[in-house]
Amino acid sequence: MASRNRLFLSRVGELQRNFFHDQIEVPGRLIKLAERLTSAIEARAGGDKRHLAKEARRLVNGELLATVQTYGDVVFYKLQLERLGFEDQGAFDKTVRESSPRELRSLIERLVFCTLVAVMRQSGTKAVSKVADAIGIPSTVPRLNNLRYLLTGIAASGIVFSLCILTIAHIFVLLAEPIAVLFSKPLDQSLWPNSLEYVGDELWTMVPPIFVCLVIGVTFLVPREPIQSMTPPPSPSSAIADLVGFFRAGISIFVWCIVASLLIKFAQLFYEYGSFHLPKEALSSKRLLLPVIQSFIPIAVCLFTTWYLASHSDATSRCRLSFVGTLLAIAGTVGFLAVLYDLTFLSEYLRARPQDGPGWEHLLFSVVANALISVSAFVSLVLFFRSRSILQKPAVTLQRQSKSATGNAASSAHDFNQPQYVLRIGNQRRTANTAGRAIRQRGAHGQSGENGYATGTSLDLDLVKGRVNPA
Amino acid sequence: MWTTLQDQAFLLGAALIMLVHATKFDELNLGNPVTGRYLALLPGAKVRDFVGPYAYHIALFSFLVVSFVSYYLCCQISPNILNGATKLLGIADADKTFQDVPYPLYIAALFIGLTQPVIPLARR
Repeated sequence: MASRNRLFLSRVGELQRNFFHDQIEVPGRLIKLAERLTSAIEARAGGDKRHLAKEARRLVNGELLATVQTYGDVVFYKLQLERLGFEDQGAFDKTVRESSPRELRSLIERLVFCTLVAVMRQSGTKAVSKVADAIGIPSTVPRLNNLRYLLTGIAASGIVFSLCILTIAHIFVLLAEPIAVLFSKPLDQSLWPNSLEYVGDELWTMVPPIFVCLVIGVTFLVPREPIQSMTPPPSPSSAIADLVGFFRAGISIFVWCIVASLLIKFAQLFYEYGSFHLPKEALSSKRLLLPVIQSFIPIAVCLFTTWYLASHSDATSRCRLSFVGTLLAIAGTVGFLAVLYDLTFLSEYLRARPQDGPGWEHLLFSVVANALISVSAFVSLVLFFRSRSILQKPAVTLQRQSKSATGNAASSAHDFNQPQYVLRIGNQRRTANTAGRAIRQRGAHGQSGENGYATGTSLDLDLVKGRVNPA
Repeated sequence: MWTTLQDQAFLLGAALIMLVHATKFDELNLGNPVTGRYLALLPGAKVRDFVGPYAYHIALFSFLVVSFVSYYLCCQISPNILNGATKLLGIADADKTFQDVPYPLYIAALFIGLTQPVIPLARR
Protein backbone atom coordinates (compact mmCIF):
# COMPACT_ATOMS: atom_id res chain seq x y z
CA MET A 1 0.00 0.00 0.00
CA ALA A 2 2.72 2.42 1.04
CA SER A 3 4.91 1.68 -1.97
CA ARG A 4 1.95 2.10 -4.30
CA ASN A 5 1.14 5.43 -2.63
CA ARG A 6 4.68 6.57 -2.98
CA LEU A 7 4.76 5.65 -6.63
CA PHE A 8 1.55 7.52 -7.36
CA LEU A 9 2.09 10.56 -5.18
CA SER A 10 5.69 11.18 -6.12
CA ARG A 11 4.61 11.00 -9.76
CA VAL A 12 2.00 13.72 -9.23
CA GLY A 13 4.70 16.12 -8.04
CA GLU A 14 6.96 15.12 -10.91
CA LEU A 15 4.18 15.58 -13.43
CA GLN A 16 3.52 19.06 -12.12
CA ARG A 17 7.23 19.86 -12.30
CA ASN A 18 7.61 18.43 -15.80
CA PHE A 19 4.60 20.40 -16.96
CA PHE A 20 6.08 23.67 -15.72
CA HIS A 21 9.47 22.81 -17.18
CA ASP A 22 7.80 22.20 -20.52
CA GLN A 23 6.12 25.57 -20.31
CA ILE A 24 9.41 27.40 -19.80
CA GLU A 25 11.10 24.98 -22.23
CA VAL A 26 13.70 23.69 -19.81
CA PRO A 27 16.07 22.27 -20.92
CA GLY A 28 14.64 21.76 -24.41
CA ARG A 29 14.99 25.30 -25.67
CA LEU A 30 18.74 25.56 -25.13
CA ILE A 31 19.34 22.01 -26.34
CA LYS A 32 17.44 22.59 -29.57
CA LEU A 33 19.24 25.86 -30.10
CA ALA A 34 22.62 24.28 -29.37
CA GLU A 35 21.85 21.46 -31.78
CA ARG A 36 20.88 23.84 -34.57
CA LEU A 37 23.87 26.09 -34.06
CA THR A 38 26.19 23.08 -34.02
CA SER A 39 24.61 21.73 -37.20
CA ALA A 40 25.02 25.11 -38.88
CA ILE A 41 28.67 25.34 -37.85
CA GLU A 42 29.37 21.81 -39.08
CA ALA A 43 27.61 22.56 -42.35
CA ARG A 44 29.72 25.71 -42.72
CA ALA A 45 32.92 23.76 -42.07
CA GLY A 46 31.84 21.04 -44.48
CA GLY A 47 33.55 18.10 -42.75
CA ASP A 48 37.07 19.40 -43.40
CA LYS A 49 39.35 19.05 -40.36
CA ARG A 50 41.07 22.39 -40.91
CA HIS A 51 37.79 24.23 -41.10
CA LEU A 52 36.43 22.41 -38.07
CA ALA A 53 39.51 23.38 -36.08
CA LYS A 54 39.09 26.98 -37.19
CA GLU A 55 35.46 26.95 -36.08
CA ALA A 56 36.46 25.46 -32.71
CA ARG A 57 39.04 28.22 -32.19
CA ARG A 58 36.43 30.85 -33.05
CA LEU A 59 34.25 29.53 -30.26
CA VAL A 60 36.73 30.39 -27.51
CA ASN A 61 38.17 33.58 -28.97
CA GLY A 62 37.26 36.90 -30.46
CA GLU A 63 33.73 38.12 -30.73
CA LEU A 64 32.16 35.12 -29.01
CA LEU A 65 34.38 35.43 -25.96
CA ALA A 66 33.53 39.12 -25.79
CA THR A 67 29.85 38.24 -25.92
CA VAL A 68 30.26 35.79 -23.05
CA GLN A 69 32.16 38.40 -21.06
CA THR A 70 29.44 40.97 -21.66
CA TYR A 71 26.30 38.87 -21.25
CA GLY A 72 27.38 35.60 -19.68
CA ASP A 73 28.45 34.09 -16.41
CA VAL A 74 32.22 34.20 -16.99
CA VAL A 75 33.11 32.19 -13.88
CA PHE A 76 30.81 29.38 -14.93
CA TYR A 77 32.16 29.52 -18.50
CA LYS A 78 35.77 29.29 -17.36
CA LEU A 79 34.90 26.43 -15.02
CA GLN A 80 33.41 24.51 -17.94
CA LEU A 81 36.54 25.14 -20.04
CA GLU A 82 38.67 23.87 -17.18
CA ARG A 83 36.53 20.76 -16.95
CA LEU A 84 37.29 20.17 -20.60
CA GLY A 85 40.98 20.45 -19.81
CA PHE A 86 41.52 23.86 -21.38
CA GLU A 87 43.19 25.73 -18.56
CA ASP A 88 45.07 27.89 -21.09
CA GLN A 89 45.14 28.61 -24.79
CA GLY A 90 48.07 26.24 -25.32
CA ALA A 91 46.16 23.25 -24.01
CA PHE A 92 43.24 24.13 -26.20
CA ASP A 93 45.40 24.50 -29.34
CA LYS A 94 47.08 21.19 -28.62
CA THR A 95 43.76 19.39 -28.22
CA VAL A 96 42.42 20.90 -31.42
CA ARG A 97 45.54 19.93 -33.36
CA GLU A 98 45.43 16.34 -32.18
CA SER A 99 41.71 15.75 -32.55
CA SER A 100 40.05 13.87 -35.37
CA PRO A 101 37.13 15.51 -37.25
CA ARG A 102 34.71 13.49 -35.17
CA GLU A 103 36.29 14.66 -31.92
CA LEU A 104 36.27 18.21 -33.20
CA ARG A 105 32.54 17.97 -33.89
CA SER A 106 31.99 16.73 -30.35
CA LEU A 107 34.14 19.55 -29.00
CA ILE A 108 32.21 22.16 -30.97
CA GLU A 109 28.95 20.75 -29.65
CA ARG A 110 30.15 21.00 -26.05
CA LEU A 111 31.57 24.48 -26.48
CA VAL A 112 28.39 25.81 -28.06
CA PHE A 113 26.26 24.26 -25.34
CA CYS A 114 28.45 25.62 -22.51
CA THR A 115 28.49 29.07 -24.07
CA LEU A 116 24.72 29.15 -24.40
CA VAL A 117 24.21 28.00 -20.81
CA ALA A 118 26.70 30.56 -19.51
CA VAL A 119 24.85 33.37 -21.28
CA MET A 120 21.36 32.09 -20.46
CA ARG A 121 21.99 31.77 -16.72
CA GLN A 122 23.26 35.34 -16.55
CA SER A 123 21.13 37.34 -18.97
CA GLY A 124 18.21 35.23 -20.18
CA THR A 125 16.70 34.38 -23.53
CA LYS A 126 17.24 37.64 -25.37
CA ALA A 127 20.98 37.61 -24.77
CA VAL A 128 21.24 34.09 -26.19
CA SER A 129 20.56 35.50 -29.64
CA LYS A 130 23.79 37.52 -29.26
CA VAL A 131 25.68 34.23 -29.10
CA ALA A 132 24.11 33.17 -32.38
CA ASP A 133 25.05 36.53 -33.89
CA ALA A 134 28.63 36.17 -32.66
CA ILE A 135 28.89 32.70 -34.13
CA GLY A 136 27.79 34.21 -37.42
CA ILE A 137 24.26 32.85 -37.57
CA PRO A 138 21.81 35.76 -37.35
CA SER A 139 18.86 35.18 -35.06
CA THR A 140 15.19 35.86 -35.63
CA VAL A 141 12.50 37.17 -33.29
CA PRO A 142 12.14 34.76 -30.36
CA ARG A 143 8.91 32.86 -30.13
CA LEU A 144 6.35 33.53 -27.42
CA ASN A 145 7.26 31.82 -24.19
CA ASN A 146 5.04 28.81 -23.50
CA LEU A 147 4.30 29.80 -19.93
CA ARG A 148 3.43 33.33 -20.93
CA TYR A 149 1.25 31.94 -23.69
CA LEU A 150 -0.60 29.70 -21.26
CA LEU A 151 -1.02 32.29 -18.51
CA THR A 152 -2.18 35.05 -20.84
CA GLY A 153 -4.51 32.61 -22.55
CA ILE A 154 -6.15 31.47 -19.35
CA ALA A 155 -6.39 35.02 -18.03
CA ALA A 156 -7.82 36.51 -21.22
CA SER A 157 -10.31 33.71 -21.83
CA GLY A 158 -11.16 33.53 -18.12
CA ILE A 159 -12.13 37.20 -17.96
CA VAL A 160 -14.42 36.97 -20.98
CA PHE A 161 -15.87 33.69 -19.74
CA SER A 162 -16.54 35.12 -16.25
CA LEU A 163 -18.36 38.09 -17.72
CA CYS A 164 -20.49 35.75 -19.81
CA ILE A 165 -21.33 33.62 -16.77
CA LEU A 166 -22.30 36.66 -14.74
CA THR A 167 -24.55 37.91 -17.53
CA ILE A 168 -26.14 34.49 -17.96
CA ALA A 169 -26.78 34.24 -14.20
CA HIS A 170 -28.61 37.58 -14.12
CA ILE A 171 -30.67 36.65 -17.18
CA PHE A 172 -31.75 33.40 -15.52
CA VAL A 173 -32.87 35.25 -12.39
CA LEU A 174 -34.88 37.67 -14.50
CA LEU A 175 -36.50 34.77 -16.34
CA ALA A 176 -37.60 32.98 -13.15
CA GLU A 177 -41.00 34.65 -13.00
CA PRO A 178 -42.01 34.27 -16.68
CA ILE A 179 -40.94 30.62 -16.55
CA ALA A 180 -43.06 29.98 -13.46
CA VAL A 181 -46.05 31.50 -15.24
CA LEU A 182 -45.31 29.45 -18.35
CA PHE A 183 -45.32 26.20 -16.39
CA SER A 184 -48.27 27.30 -14.23
CA LYS A 185 -46.43 27.00 -10.94
CA PRO A 186 -46.00 29.42 -8.04
CA LEU A 187 -42.55 31.00 -8.07
CA ASP A 188 -41.49 29.37 -4.81
CA GLN A 189 -42.38 25.88 -6.07
CA SER A 190 -40.75 26.22 -9.46
CA LEU A 191 -37.58 24.22 -9.99
CA TRP A 192 -36.19 27.05 -12.12
CA PRO A 193 -33.76 28.83 -9.76
CA ASN A 194 -35.29 32.14 -8.69
CA SER A 195 -32.39 33.90 -6.97
CA LEU A 196 -28.81 34.67 -7.83
CA GLU A 197 -27.68 32.33 -5.06
CA TYR A 198 -29.58 29.35 -6.49
CA VAL A 199 -28.43 30.12 -9.99
CA GLY A 200 -24.88 30.27 -8.65
CA ASP A 201 -25.30 26.85 -7.04
CA GLU A 202 -26.49 25.36 -10.32
CA LEU A 203 -23.76 27.00 -12.38
CA TRP A 204 -21.16 25.86 -9.85
CA THR A 205 -21.86 22.28 -10.87
CA MET A 206 -21.53 23.05 -14.59
CA VAL A 207 -18.72 25.56 -15.04
CA PRO A 208 -15.61 24.06 -13.31
CA PRO A 209 -15.44 20.81 -15.33
CA ILE A 210 -15.90 22.70 -18.60
CA PHE A 211 -13.23 25.23 -17.68
CA VAL A 212 -10.72 22.61 -16.54
CA CYS A 213 -11.29 20.38 -19.59
CA LEU A 214 -10.84 23.32 -21.92
CA VAL A 215 -7.62 24.36 -20.24
CA ILE A 216 -6.28 20.80 -20.57
CA GLY A 217 -7.47 20.49 -24.17
CA VAL A 218 -6.13 23.83 -25.36
CA THR A 219 -2.82 23.31 -23.58
CA PHE A 220 -2.12 19.94 -25.11
CA LEU A 221 -4.10 19.73 -28.35
CA VAL A 222 -4.05 23.12 -30.02
CA PRO A 223 -0.91 24.14 -31.95
CA ARG A 224 0.63 27.30 -30.57
CA GLU A 225 1.72 28.57 -33.94
CA PRO A 226 -0.03 28.46 -37.29
CA ILE A 227 0.91 25.39 -39.33
CA GLN A 228 2.46 26.33 -42.66
CA SER A 229 3.05 22.96 -44.24
CA MET A 230 5.01 22.90 -47.50
CA THR A 231 3.29 19.71 -48.52
CA PRO A 232 0.13 19.83 -50.63
CA PRO A 233 -3.10 19.55 -48.66
CA PRO A 234 -4.38 16.04 -48.05
CA SER A 235 -7.15 14.59 -50.12
CA PRO A 236 -10.53 15.98 -49.09
CA SER A 237 -12.39 14.00 -46.47
CA SER A 238 -15.63 14.62 -44.61
CA ALA A 239 -15.77 16.77 -41.51
CA ILE A 240 -16.95 13.79 -39.47
CA ALA A 241 -13.95 11.70 -40.56
CA ASP A 242 -11.69 14.61 -39.64
CA LEU A 243 -13.36 14.94 -36.24
CA VAL A 244 -12.99 11.22 -35.59
CA GLY A 245 -9.33 11.39 -36.67
CA PHE A 246 -8.76 14.33 -34.34
CA PHE A 247 -10.39 12.47 -31.46
CA ARG A 248 -8.32 9.35 -32.09
CA ALA A 249 -5.10 11.32 -32.35
CA GLY A 250 -5.73 13.08 -29.04
CA ILE A 251 -7.40 10.19 -27.23
CA SER A 252 -5.00 10.23 -24.28
CA ILE A 253 -5.71 13.89 -23.60
CA PHE A 254 -9.44 13.32 -23.83
CA VAL A 255 -9.11 10.47 -21.35
CA TRP A 256 -7.38 12.90 -18.98
CA CYS A 257 -10.23 15.35 -19.52
CA ILE A 258 -12.76 12.65 -18.68
CA VAL A 259 -10.84 11.73 -15.52
CA ALA A 260 -10.58 15.39 -14.45
CA SER A 261 -14.23 16.00 -15.15
CA LEU A 262 -15.31 12.89 -13.23
CA LEU A 263 -13.13 13.83 -10.27
CA ILE A 264 -14.63 17.30 -10.11
CA LYS A 265 -18.18 16.04 -10.47
CA PHE A 266 -17.75 13.35 -7.82
CA ALA A 267 -16.09 15.84 -5.48
CA GLN A 268 -19.00 18.22 -5.95
CA LEU A 269 -21.52 15.44 -5.31
CA PHE A 270 -19.75 14.26 -2.17
CA TYR A 271 -19.35 17.84 -0.99
CA GLU A 272 -23.08 18.34 -1.36
CA TYR A 273 -23.74 15.19 0.65
CA GLY A 274 -21.16 16.13 3.27
CA SER A 275 -22.14 19.78 3.69
CA PHE A 276 -25.93 19.81 3.55
CA HIS A 277 -28.47 17.89 5.50
CA LEU A 278 -30.26 15.88 2.84
CA PRO A 279 -33.31 13.67 3.48
CA LYS A 280 -32.70 9.93 3.62
CA GLU A 281 -34.64 9.38 0.39
CA ALA A 282 -32.09 11.53 -1.44
CA LEU A 283 -29.16 9.43 -0.26
CA SER A 284 -28.85 6.89 -2.98
CA SER A 285 -25.82 5.35 -4.61
CA LYS A 286 -27.73 5.46 -7.91
CA ARG A 287 -26.96 9.16 -7.95
CA LEU A 288 -23.37 8.22 -8.67
CA LEU A 289 -24.56 7.81 -12.25
CA LEU A 290 -25.30 11.53 -12.53
CA PRO A 291 -21.69 12.78 -12.54
CA VAL A 292 -20.83 10.18 -15.14
CA ILE A 293 -23.53 11.41 -17.51
CA GLN A 294 -22.77 15.07 -16.87
CA SER A 295 -19.07 14.48 -17.52
CA PHE A 296 -19.81 13.94 -21.19
CA ILE A 297 -20.77 17.60 -21.53
CA PRO A 298 -17.29 19.08 -20.87
CA ILE A 299 -15.75 16.43 -23.11
CA ALA A 300 -18.06 17.39 -25.98
CA VAL A 301 -17.27 21.09 -25.53
CA CYS A 302 -13.56 20.35 -25.34
CA LEU A 303 -13.63 18.13 -28.44
CA PHE A 304 -15.45 20.62 -30.69
CA THR A 305 -13.52 23.64 -29.43
CA THR A 306 -10.07 22.12 -29.79
CA TRP A 307 -10.98 20.64 -33.17
CA TYR A 308 -12.14 24.04 -34.39
CA LEU A 309 -8.98 25.75 -33.14
CA ALA A 310 -6.64 23.05 -34.45
CA SER A 311 -8.22 22.92 -37.88
CA HIS A 312 -8.12 26.72 -38.16
CA SER A 313 -4.44 26.72 -37.23
CA ASP A 314 -3.71 24.57 -40.24
CA ALA A 315 -3.66 26.56 -43.45
CA THR A 316 -3.98 23.39 -45.54
CA SER A 317 -7.10 22.13 -43.78
CA ARG A 318 -10.06 21.75 -46.10
CA CYS A 319 -12.56 20.13 -43.80
CA ARG A 320 -13.29 22.59 -41.05
CA LEU A 321 -16.51 23.79 -39.54
CA SER A 322 -17.36 27.47 -39.64
CA PHE A 323 -17.64 29.48 -36.45
CA VAL A 324 -21.43 29.36 -36.52
CA GLY A 325 -21.40 25.69 -37.49
CA THR A 326 -19.22 24.85 -34.50
CA LEU A 327 -21.44 26.94 -32.22
CA LEU A 328 -24.49 25.03 -33.39
CA ALA A 329 -22.72 21.68 -33.09
CA ILE A 330 -21.69 22.48 -29.50
CA ALA A 331 -25.13 23.77 -28.56
CA GLY A 332 -26.87 20.76 -30.12
CA THR A 333 -24.61 18.13 -28.59
CA VAL A 334 -24.58 19.75 -25.17
CA GLY A 335 -28.34 20.24 -25.26
CA PHE A 336 -28.90 16.57 -26.03
CA LEU A 337 -26.55 15.45 -23.25
CA ALA A 338 -28.18 17.88 -20.83
CA VAL A 339 -31.61 16.35 -21.59
CA LEU A 340 -30.22 12.88 -20.82
CA TYR A 341 -28.63 14.12 -17.62
CA ASP A 342 -31.63 16.01 -16.36
CA LEU A 343 -34.08 13.20 -17.06
CA THR A 344 -31.92 10.96 -14.87
CA PHE A 345 -31.60 13.68 -12.26
CA LEU A 346 -35.33 14.34 -12.17
CA SER A 347 -36.18 10.67 -11.75
CA GLU A 348 -33.92 10.60 -8.67
CA TYR A 349 -35.04 13.98 -7.36
CA LEU A 350 -38.74 13.32 -7.74
CA ARG A 351 -38.38 10.03 -5.93
CA ALA A 352 -37.49 12.04 -2.83
CA ARG A 353 -39.81 15.02 -3.54
CA PRO A 354 -42.70 13.85 -5.73
CA GLN A 355 -44.70 17.00 -4.98
CA ASP A 356 -42.31 19.03 -7.17
CA GLY A 357 -43.03 17.03 -10.32
CA PRO A 358 -42.97 16.87 -13.25
CA GLY A 359 -40.09 19.37 -13.23
CA TRP A 360 -39.98 20.31 -16.92
CA GLU A 361 -38.81 23.79 -15.98
CA HIS A 362 -35.66 22.28 -14.50
CA LEU A 363 -35.13 20.30 -17.67
CA LEU A 364 -35.43 23.52 -19.66
CA PHE A 365 -33.05 25.30 -17.31
CA SER A 366 -30.50 22.50 -17.55
CA VAL A 367 -30.54 22.47 -21.34
CA VAL A 368 -30.39 26.24 -21.76
CA ALA A 369 -27.79 26.76 -19.05
CA ASN A 370 -25.45 24.03 -20.26
CA ALA A 371 -25.74 25.17 -23.88
CA LEU A 372 -25.15 28.84 -23.02
CA ILE A 373 -22.17 28.10 -20.79
CA SER A 374 -20.60 25.84 -23.40
CA VAL A 375 -21.10 28.38 -26.17
CA SER A 376 -19.65 31.14 -23.94
CA ALA A 377 -16.59 29.03 -23.21
CA PHE A 378 -16.07 28.41 -26.91
CA VAL A 379 -16.47 32.09 -27.82
CA SER A 380 -14.06 33.16 -25.04
CA LEU A 381 -11.36 30.84 -26.34
CA VAL A 382 -11.83 31.78 -29.96
CA LEU A 383 -11.59 35.48 -29.08
CA PHE A 384 -8.29 34.85 -27.35
CA PHE A 385 -6.88 32.82 -30.19
CA ARG A 386 -7.70 35.52 -32.71
CA SER A 387 -5.83 38.10 -30.67
CA ARG A 388 -2.93 35.67 -30.31
CA SER A 389 -2.70 35.27 -34.09
CA ILE A 390 -2.53 39.03 -34.52
CA LEU A 391 0.24 39.24 -31.90
CA GLN A 392 2.33 36.55 -33.58
CA LYS A 393 1.88 37.80 -37.14
CA PRO A 394 4.92 40.10 -37.23
CA ALA A 395 7.26 37.27 -36.21
CA VAL A 396 5.94 34.95 -38.90
CA THR A 397 6.14 37.69 -41.51
CA LEU A 398 9.73 38.39 -40.53
CA GLN A 399 10.67 34.76 -40.94
CA ARG A 400 9.02 34.58 -44.34
CA GLN A 401 10.83 37.70 -45.53
CA SER A 402 14.09 36.31 -44.27
CA LYS A 403 13.50 33.06 -46.13
CA SER A 404 12.76 34.71 -49.44
CA ALA A 405 15.76 37.02 -49.13
CA THR A 406 18.38 34.41 -48.39
CA GLY A 407 17.18 31.53 -50.50
CA ASN A 408 17.66 27.84 -50.05
CA ALA A 409 21.36 27.49 -49.45
CA ALA A 410 21.53 29.97 -46.66
CA SER A 411 18.34 28.94 -44.95
CA SER A 412 20.13 26.53 -42.67
CA ALA A 413 21.80 29.38 -40.97
CA HIS A 414 19.26 32.08 -40.43
CA ASP A 415 16.29 30.58 -38.61
CA PHE A 416 17.64 28.38 -35.89
CA ASN A 417 14.86 29.19 -33.49
CA GLN A 418 12.04 28.77 -35.98
CA PRO A 419 10.04 25.53 -35.76
CA GLN A 420 11.34 23.24 -38.48
CA TYR A 421 8.79 20.48 -38.45
CA VAL A 422 7.42 21.46 -41.84
CA LEU A 423 10.12 19.82 -43.93
CA ARG A 424 10.26 16.74 -41.84
CA ILE A 425 7.28 15.22 -43.55
CA GLY A 426 8.77 15.75 -46.98
CA ASN A 427 8.84 12.12 -48.04
CA GLN A 428 6.23 10.79 -45.69
CA ARG A 429 2.91 9.59 -46.89
CA ARG A 430 0.24 12.23 -46.83
CA THR A 431 -2.66 10.12 -45.82
CA ALA A 432 -3.00 11.41 -42.26
CA ASN A 433 -5.84 13.83 -41.90
CA THR A 434 -5.49 17.47 -41.02
CA ALA A 435 -6.42 17.48 -37.37
CA GLY A 436 -4.29 14.50 -36.50
CA ARG A 437 -1.33 16.26 -38.09
CA ALA A 438 -2.07 19.33 -36.02
CA ILE A 439 -1.86 17.27 -32.83
CA ARG A 440 1.40 15.66 -33.86
CA GLN A 441 2.84 19.06 -34.66
CA ARG A 442 1.63 20.36 -31.29
CA GLY A 443 3.32 17.41 -29.65
CA ALA A 444 6.54 18.20 -31.45
CA HIS A 445 6.46 21.68 -29.91
CA GLY A 446 5.46 20.49 -26.49
CA GLN A 447 8.24 17.95 -26.09
CA SER A 448 11.33 19.68 -25.07
CA GLY A 449 14.11 18.14 -26.98
CA GLU A 450 13.65 14.92 -28.80
CA ASN A 451 11.75 15.97 -31.89
CA GLY A 452 13.27 19.35 -32.28
CA TYR A 453 16.67 17.79 -32.00
CA ALA A 454 16.05 15.23 -34.70
CA THR A 455 14.39 17.55 -37.18
CA GLY A 456 16.81 20.38 -36.71
CA THR A 457 19.78 18.21 -37.53
CA SER A 458 18.54 16.71 -40.73
CA LEU A 459 17.07 19.93 -42.00
CA ASP A 460 20.18 21.99 -41.66
CA LEU A 461 22.56 19.49 -43.17
CA ASP A 462 20.29 18.51 -46.01
CA LEU A 463 19.48 22.00 -47.16
CA VAL A 464 23.07 23.03 -47.36
CA LYS A 465 23.90 20.02 -49.44
CA GLY A 466 20.99 20.78 -51.70
CA ARG A 467 18.82 17.79 -50.99
CA VAL A 468 15.96 17.01 -48.65
CA ASN A 469 16.03 13.65 -46.94
CA PRO A 470 13.48 12.22 -44.58
CA ALA A 471 14.52 12.82 -40.96
CA MET B 1 -11.29 30.36 4.63
CA TRP B 2 -9.58 32.53 7.25
CA THR B 3 -9.94 29.76 9.82
CA THR B 4 -8.08 27.33 7.61
CA LEU B 5 -5.29 29.85 6.96
CA GLN B 6 -4.83 30.35 10.70
CA ASP B 7 -4.74 26.65 11.50
CA GLN B 8 -1.28 25.66 12.73
CA ALA B 9 -1.43 22.24 11.12
CA PHE B 10 -2.30 23.87 7.81
CA LEU B 11 0.57 26.35 8.04
CA LEU B 12 3.05 23.64 8.95
CA GLY B 13 1.86 21.49 6.09
CA ALA B 14 2.04 24.43 3.69
CA ALA B 15 5.61 25.22 4.74
CA LEU B 16 6.64 21.59 4.20
CA ILE B 17 5.02 21.46 0.80
CA MET B 18 6.61 24.72 -0.32
CA LEU B 19 10.06 23.50 0.69
CA VAL B 20 9.73 20.10 -0.95
CA HIS B 21 8.21 21.49 -4.12
CA ALA B 22 10.75 24.31 -4.43
CA THR B 23 13.49 21.69 -4.28
CA LYS B 24 11.67 19.47 -6.72
CA PHE B 25 11.21 22.33 -9.17
CA ASP B 26 14.96 22.85 -9.39
CA GLU B 27 15.61 19.23 -10.40
CA LEU B 28 15.92 18.46 -14.08
CA ASN B 29 14.06 15.58 -15.63
CA LEU B 30 16.84 13.13 -16.41
CA GLY B 31 14.48 10.51 -17.79
CA ASN B 32 14.58 11.77 -21.37
CA PRO B 33 17.49 10.06 -23.18
CA VAL B 34 17.94 12.84 -25.76
CA THR B 35 18.09 15.72 -23.33
CA GLY B 36 20.00 13.45 -20.94
CA ARG B 37 22.84 13.24 -23.46
CA TYR B 38 23.29 17.01 -23.34
CA LEU B 39 22.75 17.23 -19.61
CA ALA B 40 25.56 14.74 -19.14
CA LEU B 41 27.86 17.40 -20.62
CA LEU B 42 27.06 19.64 -17.67
CA PRO B 43 27.13 17.55 -14.51
CA GLY B 44 25.26 19.18 -11.66
CA ALA B 45 23.25 21.44 -13.95
CA LYS B 46 20.02 22.80 -12.55
CA VAL B 47 16.91 24.37 -13.95
CA ARG B 48 18.31 27.83 -13.22
CA ASP B 49 21.03 27.23 -15.85
CA PHE B 50 18.58 26.76 -18.72
CA VAL B 51 16.29 29.72 -18.34
CA GLY B 52 16.69 33.43 -17.72
CA PRO B 53 16.40 34.81 -14.19
CA TYR B 54 13.07 36.53 -14.83
CA ALA B 55 11.36 33.51 -16.39
CA TYR B 56 12.82 31.24 -13.71
CA HIS B 57 11.41 33.23 -10.83
CA ILE B 58 8.03 33.70 -12.50
CA ALA B 59 7.81 29.95 -13.20
CA LEU B 60 8.92 29.01 -9.68
CA PHE B 61 6.41 31.38 -8.18
CA SER B 62 3.60 30.04 -10.39
CA PHE B 63 4.61 26.46 -9.53
CA LEU B 64 4.48 27.15 -5.80
CA VAL B 65 1.20 29.04 -6.12
CA VAL B 66 -0.35 26.05 -7.90
CA SER B 67 0.95 23.73 -5.17
CA PHE B 68 -0.35 25.99 -2.42
CA VAL B 69 -3.77 26.47 -4.00
CA SER B 70 -4.15 22.73 -4.60
CA TYR B 71 -3.17 22.05 -1.00
CA TYR B 72 -5.55 24.71 0.29
CA LEU B 73 -8.44 23.36 -1.79
CA CYS B 74 -7.80 19.83 -0.60
CA CYS B 75 -7.72 20.99 3.01
CA GLN B 76 -10.79 23.13 2.53
CA ILE B 77 -13.12 20.65 0.94
CA SER B 78 -11.79 17.22 1.54
CA PRO B 79 -13.38 16.55 4.96
CA ASN B 80 -16.79 17.46 3.54
CA ILE B 81 -16.23 15.33 0.46
CA LEU B 82 -15.23 12.34 2.53
CA ASN B 83 -18.18 12.95 4.86
CA GLY B 84 -20.45 12.93 1.84
CA ALA B 85 -18.92 9.71 0.56
CA THR B 86 -19.36 8.01 3.94
CA LYS B 87 -22.95 9.20 4.14
CA LEU B 88 -23.68 7.98 0.65
CA LEU B 89 -22.17 4.61 1.42
CA GLY B 90 -24.34 4.35 4.53
CA ILE B 91 -21.66 4.42 7.23
CA ALA B 92 -23.11 5.22 10.66
CA ASP B 93 -21.90 8.37 12.48
CA ALA B 94 -20.44 9.75 9.32
CA ASP B 95 -20.21 13.26 10.79
CA LYS B 96 -17.88 12.12 13.58
CA THR B 97 -15.58 10.07 11.37
CA PHE B 98 -13.18 12.92 10.55
CA GLN B 99 -13.81 15.18 13.51
CA ASP B 100 -10.54 15.00 15.44
CA VAL B 101 -8.18 14.23 12.59
CA PRO B 102 -5.38 16.77 11.85
CA TYR B 103 -6.45 16.77 8.26
CA PRO B 104 -4.01 19.34 6.78
CA LEU B 105 -1.03 17.30 7.91
CA TYR B 106 -2.38 14.18 6.24
CA ILE B 107 -2.95 16.14 3.07
CA ALA B 108 0.58 17.56 3.28
CA ALA B 109 1.97 14.06 3.71
CA LEU B 110 0.06 12.97 0.63
CA PHE B 111 1.44 15.92 -1.33
CA ILE B 112 5.05 15.24 -0.51
CA GLY B 113 4.72 11.45 -0.63
CA LEU B 114 3.91 9.11 2.22
CA THR B 115 7.23 7.31 2.25
CA GLN B 116 9.54 10.29 2.03
CA PRO B 117 12.73 9.13 3.75
CA VAL B 118 13.18 12.53 5.41
CA ILE B 119 10.02 12.04 7.45
CA PRO B 120 10.73 9.51 10.21
CA LEU B 121 7.13 8.33 10.54
CA ALA B 122 6.66 7.99 6.79
CA ARG B 123 9.67 5.86 5.97
CA ARG B 124 7.69 2.70 5.57
